[in-house]
Amino acid sequence: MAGMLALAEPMMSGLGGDTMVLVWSAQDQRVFGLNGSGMAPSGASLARLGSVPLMPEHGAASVTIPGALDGWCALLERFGSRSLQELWEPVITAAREGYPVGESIAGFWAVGAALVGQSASSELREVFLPHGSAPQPGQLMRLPQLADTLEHVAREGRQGFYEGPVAEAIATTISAGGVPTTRAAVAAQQHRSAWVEPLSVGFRGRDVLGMPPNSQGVVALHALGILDGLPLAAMDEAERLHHEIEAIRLGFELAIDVVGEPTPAMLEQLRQALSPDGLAAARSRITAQARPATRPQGGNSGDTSYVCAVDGEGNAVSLMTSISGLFGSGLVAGNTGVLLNNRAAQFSSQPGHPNALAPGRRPRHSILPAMVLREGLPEFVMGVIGGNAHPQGLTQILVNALDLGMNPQQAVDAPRFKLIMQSGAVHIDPQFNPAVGHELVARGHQLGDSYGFIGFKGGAQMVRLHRDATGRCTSLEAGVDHRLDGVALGF
Amino acid sequence: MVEPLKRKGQRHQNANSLPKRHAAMANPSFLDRRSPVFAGRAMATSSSPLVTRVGLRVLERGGQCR
Repeated sequence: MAGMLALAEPMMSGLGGDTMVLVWSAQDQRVFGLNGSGMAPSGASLARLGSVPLMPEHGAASVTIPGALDGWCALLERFGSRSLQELWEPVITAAREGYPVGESIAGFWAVGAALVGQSASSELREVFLPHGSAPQPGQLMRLPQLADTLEHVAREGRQGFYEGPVAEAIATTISAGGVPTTRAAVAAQQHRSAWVEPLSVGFRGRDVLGMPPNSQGVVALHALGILDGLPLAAMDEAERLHHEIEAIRLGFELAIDVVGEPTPAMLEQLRQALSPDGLAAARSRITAQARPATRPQGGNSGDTSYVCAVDGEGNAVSLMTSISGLFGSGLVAGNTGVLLNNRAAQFSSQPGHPNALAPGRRPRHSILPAMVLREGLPEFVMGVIGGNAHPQGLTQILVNALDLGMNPQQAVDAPRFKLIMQSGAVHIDPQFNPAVGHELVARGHQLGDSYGFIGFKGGAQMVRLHRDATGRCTSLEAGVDHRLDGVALGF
Repeated sequence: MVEPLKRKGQRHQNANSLPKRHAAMANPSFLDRRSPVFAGRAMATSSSPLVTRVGLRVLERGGQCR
């Protein structure tokens, strides 16, 4: 599924990006986290960038060594039942023969082409903007270079990507953009994916699991932990949204100030923030009025792909993969058809910050697959794409499901808000009653445009596992956001 | 949003007096929204029909999910 995403949503995800995964193993009866995010290249240097308030959004300085392929290999080795060659056969065929572009993906294609603008390399234009423009909805796209790369990597495994001609193309492309990167620095990403203990927080009698740093998963967990102490179901809509916005704002402040390449001290700080005392202290900071706090470094970019799968044996996977912004860095690695990410844009450019750029470090990362356990067993497998919309969507959708009693489809379709940390603006879906917007303004919130791209509320997927009294799964119930092209299918 | 059904219901005095097979009419919220997808054993979701299909095929052949 992750391979097909590289084709269906190439401006969102693919071999040039990262992956993070939560796996429920039925055999082990527990959740494993997998962090397949890449590190800054060997030549990455704050000194070379000079004194800049923010990291560059595009170009070689925005690239981290892609971690996705190493992550998927690690996942297959531990839990897989098929080879990469078998799994990618339909992907390679579709890449050669052509596949129809979905409607919202065609929209993101066009928006992404405009956003990446002059930063788009000639290789990017040739591969992804044939005849100078993005494909129309339903238009057939062919990506033969990517097909060749996928075929090579499927045959050779990790080494087919991190060594040899693909690695050479990655190193050469990043180096040519001004960040000296050796082939050894690319090869060093092999076996770097880490199996990690998920972070968790209690919400409505469940355990919500998310990724630890360098993921900013703590944003959603902190917000949900704060909201767990508030009677949201008894509030009117504006009051409820105000509390959700404020809880999410506190979550972002925590993540932006603390999260980066993980250290024991960082993990301890986050565990404290997720403890009952830490959550109570944060909860007490919420008043009837909006906190004016903003974080200019709370980068919003990040467009991502998510899949969820539950198999007949009760295993469940919540998988995210992303090249960060639309069309990533704007660079395609040589003739591989692999779009390189711009995840390094999420580093801090301030020396001494826990998230400061340095070779070998991984940045604060927007992707956060989630899972919710009830009495120790998966009840929800879920994720939301769209940069900083991930934790905001997760929080709102779980409130929709558990406080407002919505089914998964209602929960993902319901109107949402999105807080922009750089400006403090709150974008709310136009389907909300206008009185809700007026009430939020009265509480001191600055409302943003309801329709623009920056206000994109993300695309969500949620699968609920229903169980009988013995804990056996009796049925699965899925919802897929109307905001993207997706569908759920099962048997 | 459900005017015709409300009028139908009104002919029967109140919802409780409806025959049992019409009980769902008393709360017909399913009429104006997309339904969730139910499955008995396995499920694949994604943001693209192409991707969901390849996931489903692996699941149908008895593979573990990824």
